[in-house]
Amino acid sequence: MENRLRVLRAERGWSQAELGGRIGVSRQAVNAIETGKHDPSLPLAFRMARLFDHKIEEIFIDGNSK
Amino acid sequence: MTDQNGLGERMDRGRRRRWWLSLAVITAAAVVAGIVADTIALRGRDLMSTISPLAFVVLVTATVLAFAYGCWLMTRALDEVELNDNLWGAIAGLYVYMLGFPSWWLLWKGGVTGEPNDWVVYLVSLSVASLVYGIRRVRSI
Repeated sequence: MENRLRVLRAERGWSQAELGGRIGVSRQAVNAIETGKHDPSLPLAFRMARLFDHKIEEIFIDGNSK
Repeated sequence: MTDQNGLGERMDRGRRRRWWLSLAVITAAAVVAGIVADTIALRGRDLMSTISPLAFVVLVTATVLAFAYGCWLMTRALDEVELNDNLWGAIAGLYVYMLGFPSWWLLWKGGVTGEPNDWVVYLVSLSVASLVYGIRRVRSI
């Protein structure tokens, strides 16, 4: 699943570890999500959405939806 | 430019500290278990005559409890990606054991191989679990 996490993080000048700490996951987890190797759980996606003040669908892009 | 002392960075360091602490507890328990097993293997009969069976029970129970405590600490420090990696490793090891041991046993009964060795099955299962976990961790870095 594609996402805008890297862009949103860069806009705030945060490292992967900084973002990970704020949402309760490791730097590796942030990297895995940013590179599309891991799709986050719904609770984690909601934490990200709250942190960035965006809707989940504004952060994650479902490539299958038309 | 990223802030190395931001709130998130500090929380991330705290989470990593808890992970390393849990690993230290698990490793200590494993080392004690290894020393006990090695001592028993080398001087089993002598040891049994000098130390009561109750002492062994206490030692093994303490080791198992320490290991379980370390695992519990680790689950609290894991995030969902690490948990996934652990579960994939564990299930791979379990399948190797579930399929490996009966297959070897049948081959032994059929006269194709020697008798199944518990330690070989144990070590192969553990190695496969560690390998799968390691590969998935490396992919996440």
